[in-house]
Amino acid sequence: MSVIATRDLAKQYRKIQALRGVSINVDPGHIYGLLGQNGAGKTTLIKILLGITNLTSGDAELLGQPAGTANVRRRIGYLPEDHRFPDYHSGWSLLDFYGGLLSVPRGERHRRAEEMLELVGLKGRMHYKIRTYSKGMKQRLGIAQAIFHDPQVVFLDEPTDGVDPVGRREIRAIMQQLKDQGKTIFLNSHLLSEVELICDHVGILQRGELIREGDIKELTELQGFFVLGLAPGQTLPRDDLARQGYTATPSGEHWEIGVKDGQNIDPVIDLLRARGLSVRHLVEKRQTLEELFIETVEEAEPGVDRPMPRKRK
Amino acid sequence: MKYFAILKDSFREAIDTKVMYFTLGLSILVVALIGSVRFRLVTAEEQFTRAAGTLNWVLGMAMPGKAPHYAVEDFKKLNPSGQPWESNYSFTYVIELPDEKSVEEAKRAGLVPTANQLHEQFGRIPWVEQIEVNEAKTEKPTEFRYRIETKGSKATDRRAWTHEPQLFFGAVPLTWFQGRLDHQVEFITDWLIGTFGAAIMMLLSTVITAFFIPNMLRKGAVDLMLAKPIHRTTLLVYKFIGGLTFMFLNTVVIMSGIWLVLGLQSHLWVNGLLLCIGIYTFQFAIFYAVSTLMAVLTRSPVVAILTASVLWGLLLLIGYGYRAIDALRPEKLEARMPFKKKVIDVDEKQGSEDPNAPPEIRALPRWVYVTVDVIHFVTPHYKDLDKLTTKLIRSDLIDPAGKEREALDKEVGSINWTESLSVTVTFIAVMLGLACWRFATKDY
Repeated sequence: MSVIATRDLAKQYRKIQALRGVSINVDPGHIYGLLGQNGAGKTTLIKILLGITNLTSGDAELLGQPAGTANVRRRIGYLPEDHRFPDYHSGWSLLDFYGGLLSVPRGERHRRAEEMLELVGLKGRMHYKIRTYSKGMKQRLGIAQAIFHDPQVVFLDEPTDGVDPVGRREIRAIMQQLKDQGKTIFLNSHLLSEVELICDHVGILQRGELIREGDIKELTELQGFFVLGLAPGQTLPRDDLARQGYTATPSGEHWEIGVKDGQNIDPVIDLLRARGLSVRHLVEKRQTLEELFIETVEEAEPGVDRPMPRKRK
Repeated sequence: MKYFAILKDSFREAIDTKVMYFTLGLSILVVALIGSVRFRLVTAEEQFTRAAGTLNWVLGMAMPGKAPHYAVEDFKKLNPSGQPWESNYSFTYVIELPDEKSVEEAKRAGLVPTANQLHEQFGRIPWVEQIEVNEAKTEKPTEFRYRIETKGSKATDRRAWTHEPQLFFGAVPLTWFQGRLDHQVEFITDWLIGTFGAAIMMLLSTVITAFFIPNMLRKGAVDLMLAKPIHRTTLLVYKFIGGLTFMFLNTVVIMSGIWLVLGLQSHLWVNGLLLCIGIYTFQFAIFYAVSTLMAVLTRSPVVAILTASVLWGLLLLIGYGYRAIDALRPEKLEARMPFKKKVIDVDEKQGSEDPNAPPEIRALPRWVYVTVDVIHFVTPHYKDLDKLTTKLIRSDLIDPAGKEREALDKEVGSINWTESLSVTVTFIAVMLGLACWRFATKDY
């Protein structure tokens, strides 16, 4: 059963159609990355799932129950984008306050608050006012409050925004740890390299429409291309390969070998060995997520991410 | 647990903005200032001597060199063991003129009163029950002596006796404010605290609490709250109750503090002050409900403060206006007339042209009464609650069998409390209901 499920979800803000028939399913224990340009509808989708925004049509379910109910919210954690914590709190008192709203008993609240703040590296500053925290520290605190009550599903909207590379790595480690514990994570991020490193599934939203979705490995795989490298000083027999129906194009120090449908790479290896050549590098070529994203967005609506031409007066 | 979490959060916010310290500091300062007031019992001798001294001072200014000199001599308390208000007193009242020439002139000007005139003058002293004034012999032609004896006292206890308030533990005597102890305590409790103080407290609390909800609804903050497992209506109602609790606790500090220090100093325990805590909180609920609605609609504390303040002014205006117009109803005008006059209903008749007709009073056009009635009916009856606090405070201080008490009871008794309370509660419920509805249905 899906932990997060939407069917033909639509949201209309007066004249703006923020979401158009979005249907997604996220399985338990998975990390789902939702990609999209600014204003694509990513945050709206999360807000509908949490009941912060009302849906216009369609269905949305969380943990098998209608999305947005108080009972469901007890089992989810959320870090919003551009969050603003009440700065009169310290990191510790904020977690204590949110714990109170989540009906976590006092003793457990205090214990969990320390644990969580230690996990995100804020224990040393936990009694300082939030207004003295850097952006990265606030982001870490955001992660701490999202996972404070041991939720089953965690929604993270741009969790690494403003965090330094070391902090990002730590946040990735926390996400991995949550995944290992069987938690489901729904991630909105612009940092595609981050998403690529951590997510199992991704969906791409374009102007409120889910234009692509799937397993990240499958999506980034390029069928029929391999990157091959020979020992230094050796030359690739391109003509022989061409005669067998393979294409070979130089790619830096390596070669990109094109394999037609129905063929595989083994005959190429056999040929190279027969010629006494040593294969030092061989991998199936993949697209980066960024390439996939740009390509998908361009395909869906060519020119959409380019600046609008200026109107002449 | 959720309620206490929200309440604690509101307090943390108020403390952080330092306004809480300011309000608490102000409350403590007021309590300390009132606690520093000493009420010194003024003896009868002092009172008579002071009256003579005041006369000397006034006439000395008006007629320099020619003014008679008044003095109290040979003052005796006739039963020394009794309390001042239980004693009889005797003394000699001496009037001395600068020279013989001025005797006649002073008599003509009434500056040398006769025994009867003195009887009348001293009889006006509030606590004096009976007084005897007899002319006494004198050797000097420019001197007049009167033997005066008071018998019995209208003051049955300390509260009706003259006291002098002194600020800062007696360091600053307020001689000009000498008067009955209960009147002084009434001035402090009913006017200084019940009217002026309550108004400031209401305004300050409106300003402080007006930030609670807009801060919660700020972009980036509201998402965090709404993602928690708490219904929006519950959240807003808790926030509202949190604001009320803030006002309640603040009122408890100031009212119970004043009740205690004033009781210790004056031995008059104005228990009505404690009962007023609930009424002030209820009055505040009217403004805070409007402030909450505006906060939900606009997310602006400034708009919330302005709206609540304007409403406060409006309700006072409506309260005073209603009473003023109500007193001008034809039946009430007729009832009040010392002699019979005909009250004219201007909607029916434009006055009489008959010169022999009885004198007439014009009532207001009927639409004025209808308009005022409708406005008064649909708006919270803030002024009624004001009257109630006045009654609660004054009840402990005025004579239960006196005319003042009768008038007070009549005024408060004339209020339709079922209407007053139900309209006010309905107003609060409607404002809060609208705020909850908007908050529950709005996309954030």
